[in-house]
Amino acid sequence: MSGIQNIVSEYIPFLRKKPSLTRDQALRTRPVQNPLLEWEKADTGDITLKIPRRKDLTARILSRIFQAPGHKEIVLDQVGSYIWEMCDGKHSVESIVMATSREYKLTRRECETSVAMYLKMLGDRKLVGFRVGGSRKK
Amino acid sequence: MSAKSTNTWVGWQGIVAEVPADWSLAAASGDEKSGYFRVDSTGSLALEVKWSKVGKQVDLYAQLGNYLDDLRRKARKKKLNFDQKIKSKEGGAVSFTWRADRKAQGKLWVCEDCGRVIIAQVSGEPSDDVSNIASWVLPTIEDHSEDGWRTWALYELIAESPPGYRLEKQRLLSGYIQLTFRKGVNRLVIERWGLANVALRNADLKDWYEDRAAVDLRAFNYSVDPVDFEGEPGLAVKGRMSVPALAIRGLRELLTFRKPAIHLTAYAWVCESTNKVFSVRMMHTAAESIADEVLERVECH
Repeated sequence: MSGIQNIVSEYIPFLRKKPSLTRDQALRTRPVQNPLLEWEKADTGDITLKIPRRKDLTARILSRIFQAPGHKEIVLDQVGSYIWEMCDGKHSVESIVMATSREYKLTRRECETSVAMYLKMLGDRKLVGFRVGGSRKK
Repeated sequence: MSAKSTNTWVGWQGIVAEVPADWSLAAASGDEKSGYFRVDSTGSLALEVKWSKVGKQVDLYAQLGNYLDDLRRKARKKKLNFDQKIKSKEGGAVSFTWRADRKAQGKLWVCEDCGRVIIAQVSGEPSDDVSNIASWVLPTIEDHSEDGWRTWALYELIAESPPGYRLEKQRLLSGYIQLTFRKGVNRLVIERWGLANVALRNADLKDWYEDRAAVDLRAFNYSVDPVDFEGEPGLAVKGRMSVPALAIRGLRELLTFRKPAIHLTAYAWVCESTNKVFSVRMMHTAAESIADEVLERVECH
């Protein structure tokens, strides 16, 4: 049955099973910023992400009517900005957790939970991607 | 209470254990009569402690037999071999080991003073050095204090609740811990916030704390004074219930023939070395003025 599902899912994307990672594998992934995004760092250290708006017809019409700018902005807070800068494809999730834990004096468990939730949120919004594989970076 | 710098204390409902510094509380449930907590390492090792109130006559071997039978049944369902060893009683405690898909070493004992039977075990993967960790973690477990105060130690907060105070509510969030205790009309709230430097970047402690504790503070007329806590910046809040609040809450208490908790005593301070804000807040009757003693027993670093 799963063989048939595999064949079908090859042609129907929403039937594809999402790859599941163990905690250890997830900690070894390396988040990388979406290269299509522009971002800038303010003097305060806070980072502003500039996300381009959709370019389809509806979006073009709506942005014309409401005179919306060509991009929307997301301002990251101090901790969010610190993590964002480490999403360079070189740092593993584990090394980001360790660095954040040291920088902000958080316990390992608290930090791992918060960083994982934050990276998941960035991933869900397609602001970062995750490179899987490679050795664990301490 | 002091632990080696590479170790830390974890405690729940007065049962405390010294564990490696990177271990942390992963689950806690129940009350002082029966409950459970688990402390996880960053790897696969874990300390589990379970307790329950018992009568005077307790057959430890029977209790342990039930526990191991339960584990054996679970292993059989998974079609795993289950090996167990029960060692003879030493100093009132029965030691045991078991092995299935994981392995564990533990002990079971009855505390005559607090009337609880406690089972504690360190478990891990077959490749883990369980025996070595268990041999130093298990002897550090204390099930009650000498003076009746109950220890709570989690995520770099070590505090004690006074005798008679029961945990009413807990909030264990990433970056924020709140333990609320109650004894009659008296309420004690112990809090710990992480990321103090971020939280207080654009605010002073007084405004920030008044905002965080607004739910409790709004019923009181209070004054806030800056206090120096051994070099840490802090504040002391003293207050009395406002007339409108007293008319509503006080009447409710008077109807049940209890004196209302009309006094407010609170302390908050920034621990710069751990980058955290701590708070002890008490809404109490005049007779229950023990906030200072609670404060003395909070360890922030």
